Amino acid sequence: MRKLILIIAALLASTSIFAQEEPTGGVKGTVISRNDRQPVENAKLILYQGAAPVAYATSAADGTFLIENLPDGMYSLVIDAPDYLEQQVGVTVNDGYVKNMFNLSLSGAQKAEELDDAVSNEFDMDDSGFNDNSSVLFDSNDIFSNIVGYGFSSVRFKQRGYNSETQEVYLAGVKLNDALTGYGPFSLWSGLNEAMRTKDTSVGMDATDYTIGGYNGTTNIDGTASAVRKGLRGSVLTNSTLYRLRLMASYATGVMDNGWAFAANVSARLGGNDWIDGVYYRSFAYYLAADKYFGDAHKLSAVFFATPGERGAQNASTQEVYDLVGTNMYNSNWGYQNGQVRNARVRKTHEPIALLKYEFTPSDEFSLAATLLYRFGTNGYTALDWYDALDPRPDYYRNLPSYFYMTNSDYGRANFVKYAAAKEVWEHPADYPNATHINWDRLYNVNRQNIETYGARSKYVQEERHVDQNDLNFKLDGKWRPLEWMTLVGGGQLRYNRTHYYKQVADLLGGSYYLDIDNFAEREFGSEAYKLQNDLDYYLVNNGTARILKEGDHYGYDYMANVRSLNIWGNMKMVFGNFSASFGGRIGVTGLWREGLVRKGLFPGTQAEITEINKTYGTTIQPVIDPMTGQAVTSYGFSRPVVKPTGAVKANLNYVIKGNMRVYANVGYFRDAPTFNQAFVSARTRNTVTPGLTSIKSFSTDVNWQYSGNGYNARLSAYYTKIWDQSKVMSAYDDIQNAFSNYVLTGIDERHYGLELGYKVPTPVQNLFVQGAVAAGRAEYISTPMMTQTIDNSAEPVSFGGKYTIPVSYWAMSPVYVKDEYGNPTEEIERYQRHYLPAAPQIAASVGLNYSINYWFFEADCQYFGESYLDMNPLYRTDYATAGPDGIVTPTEVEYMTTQEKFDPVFLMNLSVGKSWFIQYKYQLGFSLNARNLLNNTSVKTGGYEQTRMVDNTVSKEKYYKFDPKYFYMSGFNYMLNIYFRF
Amino acid sequence: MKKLFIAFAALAALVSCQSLIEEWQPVLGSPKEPAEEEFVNYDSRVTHTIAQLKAMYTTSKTPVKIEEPVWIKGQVVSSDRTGNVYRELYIQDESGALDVKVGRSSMYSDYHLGQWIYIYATGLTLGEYDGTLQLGVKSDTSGPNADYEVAYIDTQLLIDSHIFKGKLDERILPIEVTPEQIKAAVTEGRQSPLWGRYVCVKDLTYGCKKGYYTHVDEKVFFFIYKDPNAKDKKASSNRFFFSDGTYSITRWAITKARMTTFLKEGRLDAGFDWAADGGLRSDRYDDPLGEGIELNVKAYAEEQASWGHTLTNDEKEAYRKTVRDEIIRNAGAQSLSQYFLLPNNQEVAIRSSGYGRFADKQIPAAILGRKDYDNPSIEYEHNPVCVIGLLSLYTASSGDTPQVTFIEDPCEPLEKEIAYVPASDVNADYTLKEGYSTVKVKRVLSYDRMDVNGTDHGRVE
Repeated sequence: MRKLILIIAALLASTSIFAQEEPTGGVKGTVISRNDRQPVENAKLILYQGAAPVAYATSAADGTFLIENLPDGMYSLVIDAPDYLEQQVGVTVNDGYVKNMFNLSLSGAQKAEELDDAVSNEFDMDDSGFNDNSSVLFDSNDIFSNIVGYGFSSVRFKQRGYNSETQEVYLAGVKLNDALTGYGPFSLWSGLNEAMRTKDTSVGMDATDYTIGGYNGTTNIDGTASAVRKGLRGSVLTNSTLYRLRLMASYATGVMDNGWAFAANVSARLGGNDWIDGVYYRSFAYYLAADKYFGDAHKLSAVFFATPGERGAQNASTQEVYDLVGTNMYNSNWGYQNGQVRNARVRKTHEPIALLKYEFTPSDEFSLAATLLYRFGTNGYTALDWYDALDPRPDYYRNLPSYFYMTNSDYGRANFVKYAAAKEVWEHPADYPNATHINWDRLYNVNRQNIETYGARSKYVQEERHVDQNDLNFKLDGKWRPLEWMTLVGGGQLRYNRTHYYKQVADLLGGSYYLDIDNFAEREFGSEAYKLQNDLDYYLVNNGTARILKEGDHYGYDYMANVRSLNIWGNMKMVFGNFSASFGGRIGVTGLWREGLVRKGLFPGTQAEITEINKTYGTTIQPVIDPMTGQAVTSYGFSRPVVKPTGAVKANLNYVIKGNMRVYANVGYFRDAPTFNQAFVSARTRNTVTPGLTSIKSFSTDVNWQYSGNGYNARLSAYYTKIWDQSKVMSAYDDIQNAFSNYVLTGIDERHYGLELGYKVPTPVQNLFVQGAVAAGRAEYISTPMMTQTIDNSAEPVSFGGKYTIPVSYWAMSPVYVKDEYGNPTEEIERYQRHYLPAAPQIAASVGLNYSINYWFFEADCQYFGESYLDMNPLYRTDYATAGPDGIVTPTEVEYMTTQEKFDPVFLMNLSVGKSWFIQYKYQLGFSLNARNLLNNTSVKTGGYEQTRMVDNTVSKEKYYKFDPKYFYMSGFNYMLNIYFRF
Repeated sequence: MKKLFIAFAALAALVSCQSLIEEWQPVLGSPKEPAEEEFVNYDSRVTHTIAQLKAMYTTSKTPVKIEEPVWIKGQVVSSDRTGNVYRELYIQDESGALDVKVGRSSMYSDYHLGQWIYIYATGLTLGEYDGTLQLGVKSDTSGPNADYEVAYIDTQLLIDSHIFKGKLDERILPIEVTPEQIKAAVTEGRQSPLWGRYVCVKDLTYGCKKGYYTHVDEKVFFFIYKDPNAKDKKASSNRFFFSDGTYSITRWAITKARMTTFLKEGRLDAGFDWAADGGLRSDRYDDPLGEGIELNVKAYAEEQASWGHTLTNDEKEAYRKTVRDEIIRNAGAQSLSQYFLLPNNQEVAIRSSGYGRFADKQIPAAILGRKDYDNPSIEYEHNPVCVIGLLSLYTASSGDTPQVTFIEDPCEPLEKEIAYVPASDVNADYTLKEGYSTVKVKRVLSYDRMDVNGTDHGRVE
C-alpha cells in the first residue's frame, strides 16, 4: 500500500510539471540498439530534474526523439525500451539551446534472453500416469510476467495455476500447441534463441492480432528472417544445472536493398550438470530463413528449422531413497555400462518445421497473411522393456529397506537381516553402483545367455516410444481498419494432424532378437497364445508364430492418432479517446479418432471380423464385448470418431489515464474439445472412447491496473476462472484388482482466483530500482469427479457393488476430524480441507534490487514460494480405498488416505550481474552471470506424484497403506554464465 | 575480466574430475558392449557336500544358523522359466540336492540349468518347510512370515555375498527313481538325498489311494476366497471349498483368467453341466459357492435387521450380486496337486502353479482315463506315465507325500531330447556313479514330459 501511495504521489508530482512556463531549450537524439546500431522505436524517455520527472517522449520509427521547452539546467534522461536494459544519462541544457545527444545506445536485456525451454530438466513421468510440464511465459512489456517468467521458473511456477496447455503458443501466427496433448511446443525451437527472439506476448486474456486467445496468455514468435537481428553473433554459455556448454552462432542480413533478407542460426547444447547424474544434453539446432519483399505490399517468408538431438531424463524417487543416498538429486534412470554412464530414458527428437508465409499489406489500414506450416519428423523417448525378468530399476520398492522392515507392525515386515543389507547398499551407493543404479552389464549378460530357438533372445531391451507427428496447418489472418476508431481482425486455422504412435526396438542389449508378445497378457492368458500377440494378424498368417523383432522393428503398439480441427475467429476493437473495447469470438469443430495399425490379440475385433478370421485360419477366437456398451472391443482399424464443437466469446475493456496508467478488464467464455490423450481409455491397446467424454467449458474474467512512467512500472490484477467438465485418463497397476488398470476421470472442475502484482520502483539512488512480484491465488478442485476403472488386459470395467462408475468422493476436499486426547481422529468433522492443483506454488513473492550503470547491470532478489501441493492419485480418494480390506471406513483411514500433501514453503536468493564492452566502436563483448539459489537449498520439491499402488496384505486386514509418493527436487546453488561476441 | 575467469575456474573446481568425465560420457556416444560375464571357480573353497550341509539340520522346528565356514557347490536343476517354480533355486551335487531360497523371480535369467553354483553358507540359515530343507536367511522376527523357519535371501547384497555363479555346463540328466526308492525316501524323511533332485518317475497312474474319501476317489481340491486378505480368511462365509468330484478338474492348475471366467459363467455353481466342458465341478458339497454367498446374505440381513431394516427380496438379490462381484474381483490363480499312484501304492502328487505358463492346459485324457476332449466317443483307461521333474517331500497332517514339480511345460514339444539316468544306475546309497547313461524317453504327441506307456489309443509317438 505504501508503494501505491508513492506511485500516486509521483503521478501528482508529474502533473504539476506540466503547469510550468515554456522555455526554449531542449534535448534531442537517436535511440539505437548497441548490438546492431539499428534504431529503437517506441523507446520511452523520461527526463528528470532531481527526483521529479519533467518531460516524456517516445522515440519514432527511426529512433529519433525531441524534448522541447526545457529551461536551462541539469537533467537525467532515463531511456527504457522493451528487450533492453534501462539506461540513464546526464544532460545539461544551456542557453536555451536544444542539446543534441546524437546516438544513445541501449544494451539488450541479457538476463532473461538466454533462457530456452530447458529451464528445468525433463522429468520422467511416463510411468506415473501423471504429467508435468512447466509453464513459462515471458512478456518483457509486462513487469509481472517479466519477473515471473524467468525468476519463478525454477520452482515450476504456473501463472494463475493454470495447466500449461492453456497457454497458447504461436509461430508466425499459427497456433502450435501440441495437437494431442495441448502442451506448448517450446522444445521445437529450443537452442534457437537468436532466431526466435522476436515475439509478441500477451498476458491473461488480452486479445492480439492473430487470435482472440484464451485465458492464459499467448505468445507469438515471429520466426521470419527479417525479424532476426542483423549481424553476426556468437556466444558461449555454461551453466551448472542443465547442460555444461552451449555454443551458438547466428547471422542475419536484415532487409537488403534488393528486398531479400536471410538469416541463419545454429547451436549446440552439450554436457551434463552439477546436480543430477545421468542427465545430459546432446542437442543441436539449425535454422534457415529467407524473406523477400515485393514492393511495399508483398512479403514472402520461408523458414526451415529443427533441433535434432537427445537428452537424458531425470526420474523421481521416494523420499526413502533420497534420504538413504544422502541427496535429493538421486536419479535412478542411469547406470554403468562397461564402466561408462548410460541413461535408460533418453528423449531423441528431430522434428523439423517448414513454414511459408505470405503477407499482403497494401496500406496501413488493411493487411492479410496466409501461412502454411508443416511439422514432421520423429520424437522418441527410450525406456527399458523386459520380458519375464527381474525389474531392472534400482529403486524398485522390493530393493529398498522398507520392503524388509517397517516400524509399523501392520505391514508385516520384520526382517532385520535383509533390512540391514539393503540399507548398507543404499547408504553407500558409490560402493554398490550396480545395485543403486541400472546394472547394464547384467542386462547384456542375461540376454546373451538366454539361448532359445533363434539364438540369444533378449529379455531386456531398450525400447523407443515414438510420437511422430505430421502436423499440417493453414492459417489465414486479416486486419482491417475501416474507420479511424475501429479495427477488425480475424482469420481461421485449419489443422490436419496424423500422428504415429509406436514402439520400436532401439537396442537389443546384446541379444539377437525379441518377440512381439504382450508380457502382461501372458501372465493372465498364458495358455491362450493368440491373446498374447501384439500383432495377431502376423501370428495367424505365420502359422502361430510370434513376430521376431530386430533393432528398429516396430512392436507393442502401433496406431495413428488423427486430429482435425477448424477454427474461425474474429475480433473488433474500438478506440474512443482513452477508452477502447474489443469484442471477439471463435467458432470451430474438432474431430479425433484412433486408427489401429495392428490387431492386438486381446482385442481381436468385431464379431464379423472374427468370424472371417476363424473361417480363414480355423481358429476359435472370441470377440471381447464391452459390457458398458455391448459393443465388441477392437484394436485394429478406426475407432468411433469424437467430434466436438468448439467456441469462445470474449470482451475486453480498456481505459488509459494520462498516457501512463491503464485500467482494463476482460471476460470470456470458452468451450474446447478434449485432447486426444483424454479421448481414449487406453489408446495404446484399443479403440475404446472415454465414456462420458464432453467438451471442456471455461469462464474467466480479470480486472487489471497498470502503470508505467516516472521510472515506475507496476501491474495489479485480480482474476477468477472456472473450468469444468475436464477428463483425465491414466493407467497404473492396481493392487486390489491385481491388474494393470485404466482409470477414467470425468467431471473434473477447477476454480482459479487470486491477485497478481508486479512492480518496479525507483529509489533515491540513481539507477537503483526495487522490483518484485507477488502472486497470491488459489487453484482448487471444486467437483467430485466420477471414476471408471477398466482392466487393461480385458477391457472389462471393474464393478464396485454392481456399479461401473463411482465417485471420487474425496477429490475436491477431505475432512479433518476433531482429535481425541491421544491425537487420534474422532468421528466428528472439524472442517474440510480443500485440494489444489498440483506442484506450482499458489503463493509466490519476490523482492529485489536492480541497478545498472555504465553498461553493467546487477540484480539481486529474494523469493518466497508457498502453498504447493502434491499431484493426487484419484484411486486413493475413493470410498473403496478408504474402506480398506475390511470394508469399514474409519476417520483414521479417511485422513490418511485422502489428505493432500502440502510442500514446505521455500525461500530462495538469486544474483545476476552483467557487463558489455564496445571494442573499436564495432565489436561488442559481454557477459552475464546468473547465480541462483545462493543459499544452496536442496530440499525444494518442484513436483512429484502419488503412486497408485497400495499395500493391501496387511496384518490387521483393516486398512490399506499407500506406496510412498515420488518427488522431484530443485537443484541447489547453480549458475549460468554467458559470454557473447557480436559484430 | 581476470577476476571473472578466476571465479569461473573456482566454480568449475567445485565439480570433481570424475563426475566431469562421467557427465560427458553419454554425450560422446554409446558405451561399448560389456565383456562376456566371467564365472568364478571356487572349487578350492568348497568344504562340504550338500548332504553334509543338510545334515546340520537335526531337530524339527529348530532352524540352524550356519556359523562355521561352509562352502558348497552344486549344479542348477531348477528353472522358473515356465513359472512353476517360484523364487527358489534347486542345486544338486552327487550327495543330494538343496532348495536355496534366493527369493528372486525369473531366476532362470541368472542361474542356468546345469550351471555350477558356489554357496558360501556361513551366515545363512538352514530350515525346513513342509518336509523340505531350505537354505535362506534368518526368518522375520514377527509378523505373518515369522512362522517360516527361513526367509528368502532376497536382497542383492546378501545374494552377492553368498551365491556365486560358476561355469555353465550341460544340464543334469534326470535320474530314474523306482517306486521302492521313493517309498524308502518317504520313510527316511527330510534327510533323504532324493529330495530336491531332478528325477524321472515311471509307472504313475492317475488317481489317489482308494478309500481315502467316501465320496470321491481323487483328492484334487482348492479354495476360493471372497476376500483373500480378510482378517478371518478361513471363515465359512469367506472361504469356499471345491474338490474334484469325478475327474472334472482336468487341468494342471487354473490361471486367474480361467478362474474368473469360471466364476462369471457360473461354472462353480451347482447344476452346471460340467461334462461338456471338462471344467470344474463342486459336487463334493452341494453348492459351496451358493452356500457361502447365502451365508453372507444372511449376515448382512441380520446386520440390517439390527438397524431396524428388514431386507426385501430385491435387496437380498442385489447383495448376492455384490458378494459375487467381490468373489469375481478377488479371483486368483489356483495351484493344484494332481495325485498319482505308483505300482507299490505310493501316492505321488504333481504340484502345478496357477501362475505357470501351462497352468490351464488340460491333462491328456489318456492319462486321466476319461473321454477324449475332442472326440467323446473315445474313452480312455488310466494309462501309466513317466514324469520328469523336481522331487520333493510334502509333509502334512494327512501324511507325507512325495511331490513332483515340472520345471518345463509338459505339454510343449521338447527342443532337444531329455534323457534320464535309469534306476539301475542309482546305487543303494543314492550316490550316482560316474558317467551317466541315458535312455530316451518315449513321448506322447504334444505331451513331452508325460510318457503314456502302453496305451493303444493312437496318441502315442
